[in-house]
Amino acid sequence: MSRNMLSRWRLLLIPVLIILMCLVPFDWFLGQYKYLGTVIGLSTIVTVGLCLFMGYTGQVSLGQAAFYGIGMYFSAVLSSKQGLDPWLAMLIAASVTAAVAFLLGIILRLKGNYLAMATLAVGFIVWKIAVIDDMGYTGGPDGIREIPYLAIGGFEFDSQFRRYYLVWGICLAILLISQSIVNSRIGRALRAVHGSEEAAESLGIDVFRFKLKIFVVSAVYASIAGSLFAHHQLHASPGYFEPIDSVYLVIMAVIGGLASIWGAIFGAGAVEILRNEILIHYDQWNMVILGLILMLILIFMPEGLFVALKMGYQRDGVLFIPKRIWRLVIRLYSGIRGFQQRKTAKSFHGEPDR
Amino acid sequence: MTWEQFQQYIVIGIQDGSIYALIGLGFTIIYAVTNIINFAQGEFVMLGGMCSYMLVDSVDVPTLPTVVIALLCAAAIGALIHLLRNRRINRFILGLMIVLPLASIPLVLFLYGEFASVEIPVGLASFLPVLMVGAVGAILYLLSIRTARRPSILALIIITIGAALVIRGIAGVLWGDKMHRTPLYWEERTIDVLDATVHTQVLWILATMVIVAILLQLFLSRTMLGKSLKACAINPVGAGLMGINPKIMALIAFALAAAVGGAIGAVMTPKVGMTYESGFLYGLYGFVAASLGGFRSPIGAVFGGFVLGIGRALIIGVDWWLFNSDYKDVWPMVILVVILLLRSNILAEEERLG
Amino acid sequence: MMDILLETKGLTRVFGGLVAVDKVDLQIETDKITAVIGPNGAGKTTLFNLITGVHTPTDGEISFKGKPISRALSGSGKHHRFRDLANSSFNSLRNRSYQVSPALRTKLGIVRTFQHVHLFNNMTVMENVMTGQHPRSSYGFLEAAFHLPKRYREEERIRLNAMKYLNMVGMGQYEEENAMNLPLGQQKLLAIARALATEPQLLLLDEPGAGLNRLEKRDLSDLIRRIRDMGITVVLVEHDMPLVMGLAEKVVVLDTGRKIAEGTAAQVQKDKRVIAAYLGDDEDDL
Repeated sequence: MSRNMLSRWRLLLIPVLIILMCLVPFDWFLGQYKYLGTVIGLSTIVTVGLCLFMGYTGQVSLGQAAFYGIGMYFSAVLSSKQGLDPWLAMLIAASVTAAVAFLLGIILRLKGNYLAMATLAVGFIVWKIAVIDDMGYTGGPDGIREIPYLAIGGFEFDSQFRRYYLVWGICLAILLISQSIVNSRIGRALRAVHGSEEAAESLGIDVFRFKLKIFVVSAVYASIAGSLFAHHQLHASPGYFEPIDSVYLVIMAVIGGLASIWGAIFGAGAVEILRNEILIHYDQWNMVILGLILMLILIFMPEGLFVALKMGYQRDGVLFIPKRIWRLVIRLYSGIRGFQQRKTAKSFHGEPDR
Repeated sequence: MTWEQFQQYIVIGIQDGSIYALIGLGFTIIYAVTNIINFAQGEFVMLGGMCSYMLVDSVDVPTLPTVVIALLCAAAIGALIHLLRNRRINRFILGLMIVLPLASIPLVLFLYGEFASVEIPVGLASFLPVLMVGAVGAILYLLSIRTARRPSILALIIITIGAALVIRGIAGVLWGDKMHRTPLYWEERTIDVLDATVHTQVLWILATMVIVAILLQLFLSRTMLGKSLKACAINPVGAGLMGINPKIMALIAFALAAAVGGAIGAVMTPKVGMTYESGFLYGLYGFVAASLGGFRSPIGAVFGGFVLGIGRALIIGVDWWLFNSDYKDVWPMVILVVILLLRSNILAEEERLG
Repeated sequence: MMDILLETKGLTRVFGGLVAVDKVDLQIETDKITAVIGPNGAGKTTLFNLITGVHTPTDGEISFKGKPISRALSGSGKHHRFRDLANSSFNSLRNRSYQVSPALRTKLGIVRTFQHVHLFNNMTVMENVMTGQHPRSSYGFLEAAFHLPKRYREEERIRLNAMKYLNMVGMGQYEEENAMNLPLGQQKLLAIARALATEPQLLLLDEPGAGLNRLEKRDLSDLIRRIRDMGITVVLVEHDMPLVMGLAEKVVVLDTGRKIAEGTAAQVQKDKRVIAAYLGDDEDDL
């Protein structure tokens, strides 16, 4: 297969995928997965932010779940108890999250991965505050329940069906925006920081400010996702953003690829499907398998699974799989065939001629 | 708060503090020598407790030898994690990893004095960790040979996150989600110190802490190996030039830190109990303790651990506004974040001064 | 009439116990090619780091186009950390110590290349140079995200400029190549093109000739002269004596952090202190 043929095949694949995804919520297709599909969409939004942040700054954030939670709770409280317009509430939630991330981001000045610990701590703090509910705002472990629907004009997103499209619509918009940013001067600056911080600084790029900006952006993405979740689940509770969820988000980002945008869908999809469908009854196995995946990817393909597959394809692989693995498969196959042949040869003719 | 209550809280603080001190200490060792933030440190502690429970529960073996076995298993796993990241097999280390837990069996039997009649439960209970380590070691062997890329610090940190997840998951699978307690070393007794009552196991915990601290100090300052370790922590390149192999040093650091974690886990389980999830919080406390000590200093971590323990106990005692038992876990995290923020600012100033 | 573009007074930088740069007074004249030479460890790269703002001077000041960009307090030999931290913040408030950030210095017109090139290996040749245009463009997240017209206008200009500089160093046909695939000589040219893209007034080249063969060095000399003719002041650190002697209009010699001689190439060549400093190593080259 020539490369040209494969690229055309890819061009066909994308619209097909889009059509398939649009058809999911219909009951005659994959309707029973529309909730899962929506969750994947939400996770993708958070994951893109995390991918970009981790990919371009080389730091880990173990607190994206906290930003998600802030978005969720501010949206929930402001729109239900204070009666604000849900979109306005989302905006306010995003602003609060941005402020928190901005303050926290000072830690990015430090060399070394101290942000990892700080975000882990913040993840815990935010979760605990929601659980304790000292002042009666957050509703404690039960959370908040009467959350209104999101609406555009008179059109309310009052069914799971409609919300699937809302979430994926916003997700797509965010992916496209992220792609735009990466292709622009900002993206070049970020890639420069990733490539060589020293050289970037020498070209007039303020490394710290860029890292801070992308951190805030990733936090805002998480906040938007959290807000959307509140209006989707119609329930906000600390159980939805426990500290360990931040680790799962990191796994999604790693599977998707640390500077990849579209890979985030892949990563989010893989983890959510594993967690919610395949391993739903085995919470601990969840941890083991996902943890193993994380380690394996980082040992073998630090640039992320999706990106490695893509790169393998670009290096004249076939069907996304690098040649190395094809050769292995072929060798295995011929080995087995050869073994079988020798067996039959022996049984019919005794020792073979050669 | 009365004077009696105050003393009681101080005692509790010291007890908790010695636990946090050792966890922080273990964390500091790895961080100083390898610059890796070991997110699995808390899980080592949990494993120490779980291993001791497992050996006690299935086998009527006194807890003292189980502490020894717990230490060895934890150290073996620590070496495992190191090898996992190191990705090049060292047959000596692999052999050590299999021999150490294996050696624990005759040790147990000898201490128990039952060479003649080896009951299946005894053998099985001591063999199980061996099987675990052996199996993972074998998989590790296969993984280690194939990879050829130098990991970044970010990748290593994420690998420890994955490892922590895997360990926690396996612990959950093996031991369920119940809390486990092992028998106390002495009979249930309390001692009165001034106006406070001290549980006898607390004395064991303190004793362990002191012994470990002293042993470690002697090791680091008197032995050649220990001094090499310190040299590696201060200046890895210089140490390398002096013929010190940083990879072996890292291995020892991991094994040591795991052993320390395991020891504290085993000795505190009779008093406090352990679940498969306990490791997370303890790991976080370890960070806080280490941060109070400046991240690289074992003595600082010990100091930090006590400050943390006493501070936390006093917060429970004071019970005023946000300083009450609900928020007892939140404040240490807040302190961690504040310390990191201060550090970033001070570092920025330091940069300017040189 | 020679203008002084960059001036340092008493510039000093101490690392722990080591004095890397010791009370150096330097005057870089506009539109001249100045070379800074000296044996290894003389402090040349540290000097560059101080000028570009990567390191903060322990003492002394730097001014660019007449305005100060770096001013340090005079410190005693030993540093008592906490006291100095307090002093430094206090003095920043009272405007006694003053540092312009490296990124800002590039905007003002100072740019450097590195001894070890430091290209962006995750980008193509063209993208590397376009990154150089960063300080000369201004559209941000908003315009990028929402495809506002300002983005397209500026991108157009960035691309044209980048192409111009790429052609100037003779690398025009490699624009789509991945930066990491280039041989060393071309990597160095790319680094220079990238630096030129920041439209500097002062270009600091750190060992631009290292690793190049004679032909490449000759082309490099021509390039540097063309850069000077464009109106950019060039300062280079170099070890290759013939290259320096043929190119530089002014030579400054450093040894163990101190300036020990300056003048034209011919003058410096004959200076006894300079010869002594090199301990006869490069005598044949001189």
